[in-house]
Amino acid sequence: MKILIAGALAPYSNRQEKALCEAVEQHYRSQQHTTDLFYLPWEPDFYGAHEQILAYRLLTVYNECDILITVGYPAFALQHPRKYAFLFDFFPAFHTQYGTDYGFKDQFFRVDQDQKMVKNLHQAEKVCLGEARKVFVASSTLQENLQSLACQAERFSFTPTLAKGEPSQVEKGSILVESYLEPLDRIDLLLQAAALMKDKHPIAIMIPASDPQYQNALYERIARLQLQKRVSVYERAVTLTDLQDCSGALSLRRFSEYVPAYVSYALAMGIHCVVPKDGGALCSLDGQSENIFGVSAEEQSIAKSLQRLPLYSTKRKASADSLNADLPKLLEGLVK
Amino acid sequence: MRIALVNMISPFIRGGAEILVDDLMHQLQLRGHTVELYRLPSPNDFGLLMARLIEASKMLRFDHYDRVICFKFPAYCVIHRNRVVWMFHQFRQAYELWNTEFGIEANPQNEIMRNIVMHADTALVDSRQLFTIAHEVTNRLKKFNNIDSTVLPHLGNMEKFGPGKTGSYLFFPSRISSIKRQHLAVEAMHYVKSDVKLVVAGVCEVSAYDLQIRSFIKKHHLEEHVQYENRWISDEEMYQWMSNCLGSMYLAYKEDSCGLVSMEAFYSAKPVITCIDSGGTIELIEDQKTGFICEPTPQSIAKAMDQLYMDKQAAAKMGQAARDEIIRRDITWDNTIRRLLA
Repeated sequence: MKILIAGALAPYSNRQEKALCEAVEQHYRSQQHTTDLFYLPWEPDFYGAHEQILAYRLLTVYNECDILITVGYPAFALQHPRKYAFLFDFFPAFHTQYGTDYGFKDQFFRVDQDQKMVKNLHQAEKVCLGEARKVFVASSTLQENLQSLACQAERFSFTPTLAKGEPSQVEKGSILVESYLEPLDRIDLLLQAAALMKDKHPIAIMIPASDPQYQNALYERIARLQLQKRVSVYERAVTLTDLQDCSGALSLRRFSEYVPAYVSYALAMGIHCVVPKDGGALCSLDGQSENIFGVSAEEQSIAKSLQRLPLYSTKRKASADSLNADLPKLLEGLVK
Repeated sequence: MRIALVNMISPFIRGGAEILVDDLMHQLQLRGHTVELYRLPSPNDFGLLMARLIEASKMLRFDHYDRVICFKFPAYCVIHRNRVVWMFHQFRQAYELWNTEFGIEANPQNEIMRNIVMHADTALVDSRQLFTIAHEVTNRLKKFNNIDSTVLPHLGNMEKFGPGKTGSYLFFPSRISSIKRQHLAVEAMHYVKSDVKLVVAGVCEVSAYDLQIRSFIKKHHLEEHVQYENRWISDEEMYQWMSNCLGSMYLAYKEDSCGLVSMEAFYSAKPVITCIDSGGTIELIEDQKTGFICEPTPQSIAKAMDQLYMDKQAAAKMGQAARDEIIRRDITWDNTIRRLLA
């Protein structure tokens, strides 16, 4: 069977999409299917979204393959009679966070006109998703969010493999957070909490990729709060070695539609994680594990929880295979 | 620097252009750049689908990249302030292949599409830099579009190619298609007088062409002399076949570049047989010195095949001259990347 995989890559934040595309390709290739994989760019610009989605629609793959598997937003806009769409998130900036400080909010916020654009965008998404034989989403939060587009999505579970990493330069006992510095990640809130903490836990902010403007702002903020001695920034992703040596992990992402890989690994390794009560998919972890501390999204509460993280918690080994055990079965189902 | 490479994809087909772009990506990463490769799917259709593809390429956005490097039509139609085109080829069916057996039939409907393609190419002048991979491409661009460009020769990942034994077979590795003209090599085997053998290896996507070649082999009882491998060959097989052959063949019609195969043969110290109408390859091969430039007829090609077989010492000497020539040209990634990022 000829299987084509198409991934959409947004700037600075596409690690999991790429990892899934590669995993899907590898799986089908190992099953002797003819596979190919390509990526298309996606610029998350509200006013340019329609045009880019139209570009995806105009590209033609329907004569080329038996099955099209799309990964990421808006790769599902590609047309094919046997299309399966996988989504980690649905650009909350244009949807659940639209008009808030965390989503798209133009300086001159032209409500009427923008509302029409949102409506049109949602209509286009509805059409494109409606064509898919199945839509798979990474969390029940996203599953619920897509219901507003009349899209009945199914769950899938995939955690990109974390690199083992060199001997870590991160200070032992650090609290780890990984972020692309999007507003939704609320790194500012973390810094405010760090400034309030009495115990001097070191904090390591790992940035796999980010807009240089966001990075500059982060460094300025750290300097302004005089946190240089306690907060370190590393321009790379979290590795397994970092996790082995940390005292806890944290994500303050608001209404997250997926669980970041480093959080999944941390939990599998028995590491304590702090997540916000308004964290969407993150929040749904609360109660599933005794290692999760759900906190209110305000600095006092976060500071208190971070201080509770035990130093060098007991860890056990994690394996990506066990985290992704369900994926092969799901993929097999698509080619039957 | 954040760099986007934008190429085309014919799904499930991998040829020299794909290998070259992958190598470029690897070399850019080695030099510390952040690189992403995007590929736009090509339709097997000259008409509405092609027009849609041209429009789509203009609407895709690459704002976060410092440099966008594009290679083929219509991937090079993408819009970016720092777009560099390293042109492998235009949509040749609308140019020199127009109304030929390899191109598109001239009719009023196709004329419209041809105009759309030619109009899209006018935007090439907005590129930060416009390079081509060979004089063949530069000359075409000048002739049909009156656009100036600079030749920036390509090189593949040649580290693994090196001299081996001088064998008894000629090796023709390439995607198997009518424009690559494997049939000429197979037909030539009907006219050879020596015991030279031929290995044709690559993927053939067009079953009619595959059948044409197989039928010829069967009809003329060439099974003992022609090894026809219609399949994807591994890198390891490629190195083995190339390093131990008598010589290589590359007979493509009006090829844009000198062809990755020719360069691999030269690095492997093998002479190359090509044709006078093979385009870029004749920019590399010197007749009687590093290979043979033949008339595109089976008889003429057969003569060159026999000549190599009957004087293997001379063949080895030509192969060494070919290797000396490619090393003398000093095509390095450092130089190529410096020019692409200037």
